[in-house]
This record gives sequence, structure tokens and C-alpha cells, in this order.
Amino acid sequence: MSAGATSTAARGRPLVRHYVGTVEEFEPDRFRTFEIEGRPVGVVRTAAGFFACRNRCPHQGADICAGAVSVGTMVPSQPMQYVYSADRCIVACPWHRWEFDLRDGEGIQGITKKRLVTYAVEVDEDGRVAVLMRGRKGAGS
Amino acid sequence: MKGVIDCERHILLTSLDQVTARLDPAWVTRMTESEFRLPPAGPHAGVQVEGAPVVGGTDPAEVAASLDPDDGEVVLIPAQGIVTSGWLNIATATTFVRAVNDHVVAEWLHADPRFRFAIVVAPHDPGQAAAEIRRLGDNPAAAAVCMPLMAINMGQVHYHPIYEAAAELGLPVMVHPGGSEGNVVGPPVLGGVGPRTPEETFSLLPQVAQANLSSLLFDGIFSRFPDLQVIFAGFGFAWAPPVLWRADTEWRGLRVEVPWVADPPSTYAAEHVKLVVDAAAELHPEFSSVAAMLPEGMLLYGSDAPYDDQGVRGRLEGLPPEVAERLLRDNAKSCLRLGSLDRG
Repeated sequence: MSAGATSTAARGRPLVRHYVGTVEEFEPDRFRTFEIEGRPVGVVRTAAGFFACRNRCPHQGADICAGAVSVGTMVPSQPMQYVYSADRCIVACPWHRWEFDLRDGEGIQGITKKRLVTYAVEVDEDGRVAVLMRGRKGAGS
Repeated sequence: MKGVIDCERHILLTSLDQVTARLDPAWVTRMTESEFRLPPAGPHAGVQVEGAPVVGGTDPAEVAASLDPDDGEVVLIPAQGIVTSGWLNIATATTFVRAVNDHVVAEWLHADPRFRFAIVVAPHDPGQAAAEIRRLGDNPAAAAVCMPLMAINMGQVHYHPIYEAAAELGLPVMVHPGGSEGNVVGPPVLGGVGPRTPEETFSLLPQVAQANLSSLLFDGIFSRFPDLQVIFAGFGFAWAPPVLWRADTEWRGLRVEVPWVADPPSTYAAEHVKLVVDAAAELHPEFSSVAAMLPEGMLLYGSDAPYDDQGVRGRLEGLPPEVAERLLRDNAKSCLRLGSLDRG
């Protein structure tokens, strides 16, 4: 799926707004994937809003957007007790279940120092969903 | 090198009289008028190996005289006190180790101020084991607790009373093969259908340590007992790096299954687990490379005398000085209870 784009002035390389559809076209907690400027990008609608990330797990490059999206995960607890915290927005890679926070791309509970690449998402008053990405180097300004 | 600390030096009883001298008449009768026999002294004590008898480890003055004047503390472990995991009579096992401990305290500690001892306990009844740890834990020469394992992994609740007592007294829990692994019901099993020869048994013993290290880490023992230190003696060390690598890798993906493991498992191992380098069989030419694969500070030195003193110390002393000092001395100080022997 490709996406239409308009450009916005920004520091350094331009921040480009790529429209990927309307709100109604996104099922809750299921990624839709796009190729934007040659990059694989997934966009998901959750109870906490829209999120977008690069569709490549920083671990071994799996299509992470095929993984499960959830509002929380288990947090450190006493042995043999489970405590679920529903204050996040998480994607779990389908290959090795590495979890990343979709808000900032951080690995959960320090599982890795590598980050999932994330992008800002805007929804305008007409319900159009846009992913904001910096243009590629040398791609105009 | 000065101040070398021997974390694992076995001593041997030569007669059942040394045990019964510490028992009340009922137990003297039970042990002398039954088929009970003092466990043999062969390496390790529970494994029957044909060959030359073990020499040494029976005379306190002789062992003291064999030490270098510059040596540091020596942890005495009565080899016959750690063979009980295959015994079916729990009362006998518990009573036997109590007498063995009393023998060590009465007959060995006075021979050299560097002598320390490991309180040996039978693992069958953890309440009794904890009581034995508390009975002797105030002795300033007690440096550790030592026990064989049951076919119950170390992360399970069975061992909690032992960990609680040991941690309370600042004593590390040293686990050591009991000699009957894979042979009888009770001790840990070994892979496949079980070894047929002592050589096979010794070759496969690391399986027991691997399973138990994994259990300690994933069952959250070090979260539950944050002051606990565990020492694996007699199992070697080269088995550990792959276990820790796999544990860390699996934890990254399956962390939600064990959320109480809040950090990579190897970080708990680095803080709470030590491995004794005690066997010539582990001194492969690539020894240093394998040792470097472990988190720093995990290795201790044990002579394993009188069983396996085949140049292990010499090899370790040949390592770069900063590595040798940690391995032969400093790591032990951070783990064993080696306070002053002066009471009060």
C-alpha cells in the first residue's frame, strides 16, 4: 500500500506528512502496513490513539507489525505473582516475542538497548490519518 | 601467591566410631547393630570406583602442615557428610550429618587458625537442615553450608527454609555432588537413561548444575532471598556460560512468563552465584577463554583435595596476576563468611 504526501517545513530535513487513510479504515489493535519513501511502516489504531513504527524488529528484522498489540504487560513482581500494568501501548514481535513500547520504541524492561523506530501520527479534523516522517537525505528541502 | 583461599578441601572420617562418639545411646545402637556403614571415602564419596585408596585428608595436623605458610583460609568439607541425598532414612541422614559436624568442630578446627568449615546438612528435611545451620551458625569458623541435592530443583519451595537460615547467618549455600546422582531415587537425575560407569557419571554431572542454576534464576530465588549466595562445587564451571547466554536470550522474549525476573538472569548469577574451579578435567588449554565468558567474579578456587589436587592451583596461579588474585582469593572473600575467629 502506498501513501500520498504533503511537505511541512522543519528543522534540517523536511518533515513530510504521509496520508495513509481515514480513521474508519483502521481496525483497533491491528496494524496496517505501508511502504513510505521506500521504508516499511506500520500504523495502528489503539485505545490510546494512533501509533506508527518501522515494520522491522530491531532484534532480527522480523515484520514486527504482524505481532500482537496490547495496552500493557507484566511488570516486575514478587516471585510467582503476576502483576499486569495496562498503562502502555506495546507491540510484541511475532518471532521472539520481544516487546517494545510504541510510544517511544523502547524495549520493555531493558530487554535491549536497541529501539524500534517510531513515527508521529496526526489525525486531522476530517479523520485523515497521516504519518510524519523526515524526508530522506538529499530528497529536497 | 599470598592468601590463597581454598574453598573446597575435603576431609575424611576413618571410622564409624568418630560418628558414634557424638551420638546418644539409641543412635549408637542403631548404627552399630544394623547394616549401617561409614560411607566409603572414594571420589566422590558416593561413587564406587575401583582403584587406589584415597590418601590424605584424615589427619588434622597433617593437613595443617601441608599448607603453605602464606595460604589463607581453607574450607573443610567432610566428604562423607555430603553423600546423604540417596539415603532413604531421613532420621539417619539428619543424625549422621549432625555427628559429622560435631566431629569436625571438635577434632579439626583447633589444628590451624586458617581452618574453616562448611556445615553439612541433609537436604531431605529442610526444617531439620535449617535447625542444624542455626545450631552451628554462630560458630565463627563456619564459612558456608554444604549439601547434596535432591531430585527437586533449587528454585523450588522445598529448599526455602535452608536458604532462609543460611542467608540470615551470612553463610553461602554450597551444593556439591553427593555421588548417587542418576543412580537411585532421591538425588537429581542425569540425562538419557542414566550413566553406567563412574566416568560417565562424572562427565554428565554438569547437567545437574545447569538445571539447578536455571531453576534458581527463573524461580526468582534471589529476589526472594536477596542476601543469599550459592556456590556450585564439584560441578566445574565450563557448563555455565551457555546456560547464562540461553537464559538471557529466552528471558528477552519470554520475560512476561517470569516477570519477577526483572533483569537479565545473568545479572542475578553475577551477583549471587559462584562456581568452584576444582577439577583438573576442566583445565582445558582454552580455560581462560571459557572463564572470560562468565560475568566477572563468579569463579572460586577449590583444591578438591585429597581427590583431585592435580595442579589446578598451579595452573590458576599462572593466569595474569589480576585474574589469579580474584580467582584464588578475592572472589572467595566476597562470598564465604570469613570473619575473625574471636568470639564477641
